[in-house]
Amino acid sequence: MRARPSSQTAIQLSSNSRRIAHLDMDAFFASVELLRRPELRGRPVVVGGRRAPAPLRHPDGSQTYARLGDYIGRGVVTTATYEARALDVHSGMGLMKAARLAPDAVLLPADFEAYRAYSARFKAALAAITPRIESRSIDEVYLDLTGFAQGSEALAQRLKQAVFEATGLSCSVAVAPNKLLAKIGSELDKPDGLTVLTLDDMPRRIWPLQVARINGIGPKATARLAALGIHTIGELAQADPERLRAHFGAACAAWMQQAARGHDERPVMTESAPRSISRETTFERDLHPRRDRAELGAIFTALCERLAQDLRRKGVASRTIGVKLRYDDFRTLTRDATLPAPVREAGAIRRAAGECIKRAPLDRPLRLLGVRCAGLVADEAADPRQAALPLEPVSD
Amino acid sequence: MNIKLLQKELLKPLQRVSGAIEHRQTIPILGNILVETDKNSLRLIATDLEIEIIANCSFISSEEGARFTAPARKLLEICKNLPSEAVIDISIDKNRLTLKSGKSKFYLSTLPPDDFPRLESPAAALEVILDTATLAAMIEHTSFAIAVEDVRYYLNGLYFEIKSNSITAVATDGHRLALYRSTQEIPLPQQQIAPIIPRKTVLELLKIIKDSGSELKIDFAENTIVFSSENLNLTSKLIDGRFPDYERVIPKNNKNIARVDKEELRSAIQRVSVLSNEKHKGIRMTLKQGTICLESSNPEHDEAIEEIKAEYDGLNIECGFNYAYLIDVLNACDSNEIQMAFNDSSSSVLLTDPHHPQATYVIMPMRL
Repeated sequence: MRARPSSQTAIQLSSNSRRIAHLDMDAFFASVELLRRPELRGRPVVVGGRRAPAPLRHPDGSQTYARLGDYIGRGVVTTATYEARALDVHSGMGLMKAARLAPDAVLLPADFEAYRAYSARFKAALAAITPRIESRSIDEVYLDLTGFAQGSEALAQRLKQAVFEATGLSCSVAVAPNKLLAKIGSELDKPDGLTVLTLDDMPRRIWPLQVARINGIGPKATARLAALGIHTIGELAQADPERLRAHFGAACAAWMQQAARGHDERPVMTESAPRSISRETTFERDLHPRRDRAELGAIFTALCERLAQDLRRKGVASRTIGVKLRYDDFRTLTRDATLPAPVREAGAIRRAAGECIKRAPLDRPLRLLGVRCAGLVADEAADPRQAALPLEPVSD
Repeated sequence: MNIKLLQKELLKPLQRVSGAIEHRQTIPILGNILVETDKNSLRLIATDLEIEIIANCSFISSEEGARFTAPARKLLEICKNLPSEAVIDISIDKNRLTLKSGKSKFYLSTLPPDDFPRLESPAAALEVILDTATLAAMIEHTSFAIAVEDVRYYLNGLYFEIKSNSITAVATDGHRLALYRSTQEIPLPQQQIAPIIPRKTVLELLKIIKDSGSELKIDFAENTIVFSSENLNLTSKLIDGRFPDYERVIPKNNKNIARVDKEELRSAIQRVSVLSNEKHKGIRMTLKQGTICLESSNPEHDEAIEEIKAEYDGLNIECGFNYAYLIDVLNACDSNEIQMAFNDSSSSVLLTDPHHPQATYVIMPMRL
């Protein structure tokens, strides 16, 4: 490895000059539920399943909750409280499996309307502190705190206080020189965490962590790195660049190593257009691509129609259409296709998605089907005031 | 291998071929140019798999049979920042390119030349020699109306209709249409040829034909078009689709005809547009005997009004337009007068240049 001390220092200086916070709500959905049902505090609680039974309210005001162990169906865990997590239940797990691990946990149906309302409340409270806020998801934001006079720890405390005053909920915050480190940092001290990281902390606090902690290194890359004997972020930072290039390509290798060294120049995006829109559904029972063709076809068409509505509402068209299939054995695969020109109509989405499905093996039953529109571009034809030329395709 | 050449000989061909390269690259080799030499020539080649541009380049000395790739943007930036009289010395050793000029030295990584993809050029069904001025005029008068990433993919290019005595270029984005017809004798093609040339090709072509001498050979093949001159060669895939029946949307009976000074109309539109709604860019145009009145307003309740003289004795007509569409047409017109033919407030307007009948423009109105 060639040493380039001078340029390295320059990068570090410029990176340390920013202060970026990542704020992540603690077990968000479950915490909102506990807020509304304080009697459940301290008990393992799992949120999930569209058809999980709603609590039964008695005349004296008390409620009876569904027991996770009694659940039969194919819903998944959306969020689990820390008490449930202690029993190895985590988001994304099938509810039936969770029921075996924590049969006595309380099961609550997801109430997205309530979660969205709390999300709006905590984000508004943060936006009052700085307008430079990027909403990453319903329970996660980045904030650019560069230029504040206060110290990082005091600022992080202020953010946590604002969130608590607005919602009564706790969150974990990290302040770091960039988004990458802030994101890793907010995980370090959960729940109710407060972490301040600088580039000097890298060797001691970040390098011993597993590479998968880097946002963007997923299970596949983790496995490929492990095959090269690279497990920790520190090992990745010190790996031979040539060797990484040979396995991952120049751009990916350079990015991974930059990330492992704590470099990330991505700005906090205050206004971000959606990158992709997707719709998916888990079937009531597994459907076979051939035997249940009609039923699958109807569900497929409905997904595409809902996507077309989503596109219209956002005034965008899509260039990349993809499908997601999950088989009865839980294997999941995706196929996508980039089109010569963006599409916005349900029929065109269905045609492109249909082509993608043909590229997947269709020899066993499916439990989930999803359709995704990416490569979104502003739809010029969306202005209803502008009249259109009566162009008609030529008929032979 | 080793090549020596002057910065000023390299820069322009390098810029020309770099136009083919997409800014965001997913396939690394497409960010590189291929350099090939034989006894008397040095060729630069770049592609995005839809277009391939080849430029010949003069040199001081070169080894025959050299073949390598180099990162295009980096090479271009280095070249731009060297003085024009500088001698550039390029040598290749394994996977590394060394570029020396004066006291500067640059080491660039390369990719194997055998991985560089080339576009196939199938046998031409028709060969046409066109003077570059005519082709440039066809593009300049129409390309602004080509659709950008439209769902109707066949609108994302310039349509060429070839008949025995004319070539017509047509572009439309569904809201406006531009047409330019050049009359010249052409050997009648064996089969019907109706290519739709992708927007990017059209724009790159316009850049390169300006320094391509006076004539250009065009080879039309089934899915491909090739433009070649002495020093340049552009091969492009065509848009696979049928262009709509454009004749149907050109109004034939618009009887309310106004003639105005083009410059006066353009500057008035530009002034009035300052206060139009930024999003939909609408302005109102009112025609009365002898005058055209232009008005705009926006959600902040700002308003602009300007009246200009016009030769007009048709009906009183009031209609709205996207001012950018009008400006595009006025910018493309060569002479100092423009004719606008209206039917009523909700139908399309036909714009023509009374002194240059080759060009025809149609714009649909906007409801304000």
